[in-house]
Amino acid sequence: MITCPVCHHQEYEGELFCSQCGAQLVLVEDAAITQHFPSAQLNEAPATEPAPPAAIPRPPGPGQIALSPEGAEASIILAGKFEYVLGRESQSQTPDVDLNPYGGREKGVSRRHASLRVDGKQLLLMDLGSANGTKLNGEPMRPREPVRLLDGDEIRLGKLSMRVYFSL
Amino acid sequence: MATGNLYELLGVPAEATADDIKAAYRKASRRFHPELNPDSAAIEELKLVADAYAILSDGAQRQAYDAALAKIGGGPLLVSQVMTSRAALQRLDEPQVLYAMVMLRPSLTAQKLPAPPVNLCLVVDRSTSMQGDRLDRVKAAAQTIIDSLRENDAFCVVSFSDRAEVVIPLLRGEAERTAAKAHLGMLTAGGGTEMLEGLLSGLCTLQPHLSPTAVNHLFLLTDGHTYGDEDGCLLLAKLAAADGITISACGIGDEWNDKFLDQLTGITGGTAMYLRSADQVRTFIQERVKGLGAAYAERLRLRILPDRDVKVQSAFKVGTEPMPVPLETRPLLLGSMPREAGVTVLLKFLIPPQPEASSAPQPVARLSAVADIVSLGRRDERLTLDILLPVQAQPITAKPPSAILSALSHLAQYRLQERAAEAAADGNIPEAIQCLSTLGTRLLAASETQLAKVALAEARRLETTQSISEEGKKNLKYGTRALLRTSTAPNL
Repeated sequence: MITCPVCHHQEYEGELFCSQCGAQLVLVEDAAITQHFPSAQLNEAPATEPAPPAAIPRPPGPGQIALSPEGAEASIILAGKFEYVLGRESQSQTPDVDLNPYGGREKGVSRRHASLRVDGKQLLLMDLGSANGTKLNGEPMRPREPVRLLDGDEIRLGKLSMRVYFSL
Repeated sequence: MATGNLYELLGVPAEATADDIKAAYRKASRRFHPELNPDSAAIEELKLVADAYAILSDGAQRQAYDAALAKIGGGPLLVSQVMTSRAALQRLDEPQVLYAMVMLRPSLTAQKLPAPPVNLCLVVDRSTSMQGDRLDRVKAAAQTIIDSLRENDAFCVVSFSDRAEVVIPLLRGEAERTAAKAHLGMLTAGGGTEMLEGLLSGLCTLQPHLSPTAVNHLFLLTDGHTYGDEDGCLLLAKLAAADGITISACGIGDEWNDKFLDQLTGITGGTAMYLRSADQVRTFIQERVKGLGAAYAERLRLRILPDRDVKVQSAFKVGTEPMPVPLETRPLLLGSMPREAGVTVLLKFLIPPQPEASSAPQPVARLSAVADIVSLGRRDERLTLDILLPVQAQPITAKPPSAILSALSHLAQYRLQERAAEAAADGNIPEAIQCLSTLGTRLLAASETQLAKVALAEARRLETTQSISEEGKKNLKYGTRALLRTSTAPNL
């Protein structure tokens, strides 16, 4: 038997979609679906410097992380876990942070794009082998190599940039 | 058995002149006319001869027929293609699921083929609610059908409210067109919806004209519920199917019973469709009737013979007209096969435990398809195929064919809608809300924004009013069903 990752319903081997919640049970290559951009297009500077977030994010409370995507009115507050996957929600996957509402799909965010990990008082960012890559303050990151973040850093997933605020 | 060649039916050689063919037809129709020949098989033969003549007497049709015959030679008229969700079964001590997508299609593609004769009965609901626009547009559509009738086509119109009336008894060819149109003008709305009366009268009118080498079709138009005679209607549909008649239906507006119409048409291999408003009625009917004349084969039946301990769990026709196929009717009735496409069915098998690996392919099921190739005047054309797969010891990691994945993802959405409607009808509101919200999210992820909005709106509606709207329910049902059409195998 296989177990649906979403609703934990049991299905026979060979089943492709959960009969309870309709979730896809087989993984399909990430890259096959994420929109790819030519690298030149990814490297070109944003038309304008990422505008400061429309609303100044509330300084996150102790143990909290705030993500403030460009153009978004409110920031995303994360708390209570040690690791958060940033990506896009799809039939087979539900990341901790779904960037679809911020134009994730159009901006080339992979379904599992990057992760944020809390390590003591540090916050580590790691690219999860995404299709269009991750940049930290404009510098491309190597996939699967965690890098320490500082409060207020700008990260860019594909073409979607956001600032990260935290106090751990 | 195939009835063979149209020339043989008329008793002329393939190089016969148009006059020879006409003379042969006159002779044969006297020979088999029921008034002149008392044998019970004579009437049947007369219809075959008439259908053959319909094609051979028309220069362009005959040319298309000759070209098609030359192209097939002695080869098959139907071909198939099967895709399975896995290229091998897995060695496993518990059951496993296998999906098979079976594509049946004409062996001749990109070839001009004769248009088959069509026997059509339009059964029109004239209950009070059809008054005005709805009935007017149905009448307008019927007029266009009359104008487009060909020599050997037959057309009749029956209306029903509390009783049934034959509006146009039977119109063949060009005779009495004006009178028929005048009859249509007298069709007025009023009364209830006694569908059994209408169906019975429609089938009786059609009955004498049925032919195994023609398209025999009853098209039901309604906008309401029939009360108390559903079982009778279903029984009639079964008899109609046995006679080779396909019933399709069109529900106008929101106040008709979709479950019942799906069942009624499904029994015969036909489909039910939903028209939200009256302004689509006319074009819709015309398109449907045009579709009838574009059939390659009719009465497509699929017999599934599973091997030992294999179970068939579900069948869904995904193309060209998506619809659930009831498993209770055996063989499965798949309706009509258009000339330009084919018919695709998605089958779900439950395979018993496979204790041994085997490189020799193991049989899963034998499938036999039978159809009447109406466009070439051949009956009972048959095709047999086996699903055979090896059994491998390692877990299966290969990705299933994308056509199957895509069809199943849409089917999963269709099922969610179905479960939501059932839960709502049973009063299980939380479950219905859950299903509709999940459906909404999945549809959003698939960029089906319009349908997603309907699903989410119905979920909210359930929260406040504890009930689902008829319009939303039908939109979701026929909307998610239509999505399956877009997922039909690309390599057809």
